[in-house]
Amino acid sequence: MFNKKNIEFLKRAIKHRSFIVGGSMTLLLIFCAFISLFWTPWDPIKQNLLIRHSPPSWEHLLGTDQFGRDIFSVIMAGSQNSISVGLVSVSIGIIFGVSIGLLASTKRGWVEELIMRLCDFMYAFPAILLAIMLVATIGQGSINAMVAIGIFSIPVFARLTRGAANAIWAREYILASRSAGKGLFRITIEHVLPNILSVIIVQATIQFALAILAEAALSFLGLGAQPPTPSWGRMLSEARSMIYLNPWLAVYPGIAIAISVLGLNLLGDGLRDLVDPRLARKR
Amino acid sequence: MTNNETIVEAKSLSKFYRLPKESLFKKPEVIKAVNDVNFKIIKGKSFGVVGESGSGKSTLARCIMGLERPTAGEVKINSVDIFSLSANELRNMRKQFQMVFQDPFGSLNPRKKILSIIAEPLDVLEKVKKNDRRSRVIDTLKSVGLKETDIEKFPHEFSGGQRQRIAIARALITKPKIIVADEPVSALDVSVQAQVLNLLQDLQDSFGVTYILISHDLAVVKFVCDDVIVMNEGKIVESGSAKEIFTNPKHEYTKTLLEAVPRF
Repeated sequence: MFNKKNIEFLKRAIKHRSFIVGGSMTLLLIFCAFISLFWTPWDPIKQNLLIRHSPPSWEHLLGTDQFGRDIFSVIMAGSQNSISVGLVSVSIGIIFGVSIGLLASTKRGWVEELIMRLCDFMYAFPAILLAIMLVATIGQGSINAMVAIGIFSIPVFARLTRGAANAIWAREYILASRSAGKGLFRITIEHVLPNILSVIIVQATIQFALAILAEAALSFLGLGAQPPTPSWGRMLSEARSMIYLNPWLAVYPGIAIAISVLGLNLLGDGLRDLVDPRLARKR
Repeated sequence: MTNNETIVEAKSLSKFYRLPKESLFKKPEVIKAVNDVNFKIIKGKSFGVVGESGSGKSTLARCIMGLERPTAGEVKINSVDIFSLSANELRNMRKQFQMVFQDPFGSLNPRKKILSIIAEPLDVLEKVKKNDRRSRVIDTLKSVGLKETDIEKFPHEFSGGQRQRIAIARALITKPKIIVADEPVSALDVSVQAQVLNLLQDLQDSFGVTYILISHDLAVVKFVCDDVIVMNEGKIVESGSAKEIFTNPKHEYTKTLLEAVPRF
């Protein structure tokens, strides 16, 4: 685990500003979601109409919303939703996208053409429109939103994987492996996949951020998480009608979304710099 | 068994590549990388293939290794046409012929330890126990002049010449009868070239392997090979013993090649 290479990697990681900042912001998000599983200052679902629109106080750090719920608690609980959407949709994207990308680069020929043209076809639709279309067809709800967002990230991973894998297939150690008698499947698993994993991980963090954003948009439109599940997107849409009365209602979930998306993007950028072979490998 | 037993034979071997279509209506252009090539290689000797870059040497090597299916013709190893075999039979044959590549930086997976790099052919082609596997890797590593402790290292910890030794060890591990070496020293420094070539010769003396050495460098071929073919644009323009070709070249192309060698 802790050989020379890894220690060197850690040293560079600590010095990398956007990796550290992005990583801390992402950790904060994960920490928030984890804590909220067991504890939030107030019940994020229970309404208390007597204290509607109360301003920030020591009791309610960020005040309360139009139903008298503690905003801080709702934001904390909303992070669960964002994280699970990110996890599920990115997993769907990676499992299917990476497999068909690897299939395309292993088989080449018409298989590759077919897969890539299908991906182009999906790319032709704006991602969020595609998600809206899918949710409109298969029905609204958290799970469906996750699946829809996952489906639109499949072509992203497929393209990336195929491109990176093609570059690996051209290496001489693949030829050496073939002349050792290894089959295409084993070469893919043992040589190609480990060498493109870093690229996939970087893309996954960026795709995670996009998924959070897309879920917020879907929830804003009422197609994502249904009440009373706390969700940042729905907080925004509920705040819309209160924007003149209590504009802070829209600002808090907005900040939460911005922090998590920014954090994940910075983390992705940092990771990309760190795993870039041109910087990492010294000859 | 006679001394002049043929181990590899190519019969009217051809490999054509079709270039991507430039226009919808024109026929795609065809490159004749290897065009009607015939030769026989005698067991235990070194066979050189010489030519400029683009003369079809590497394609020929890949056809002999069964990595590319030729457009026409056959490659016989121990009188068996390797392209008539099923995938499984071919895999079993692979124990007998292995390959060393040109670029020692590209031919070793940077993420694998030396142990698993060298053991790769062994893992596929022979069922060996873990202890056997390790000891055979160490033996082979020692025979190419590297240390036992090197098996736990990664490729980036070695120099070019050492990496090429590792690549040779990988080719040797299954005790093959034939090793195809595609430009094995052209990526190395001149001083290291000599070491690796000497190693190849020593290994031939101790293991009795047959080399197919592919090179654009005539000095290398002259140093190692017994028989030589000269290739140009996919065809053999001259063949014969190395001595004969280097002292008394008959074909114009061979003469220009020989004249192009820088003299010190």
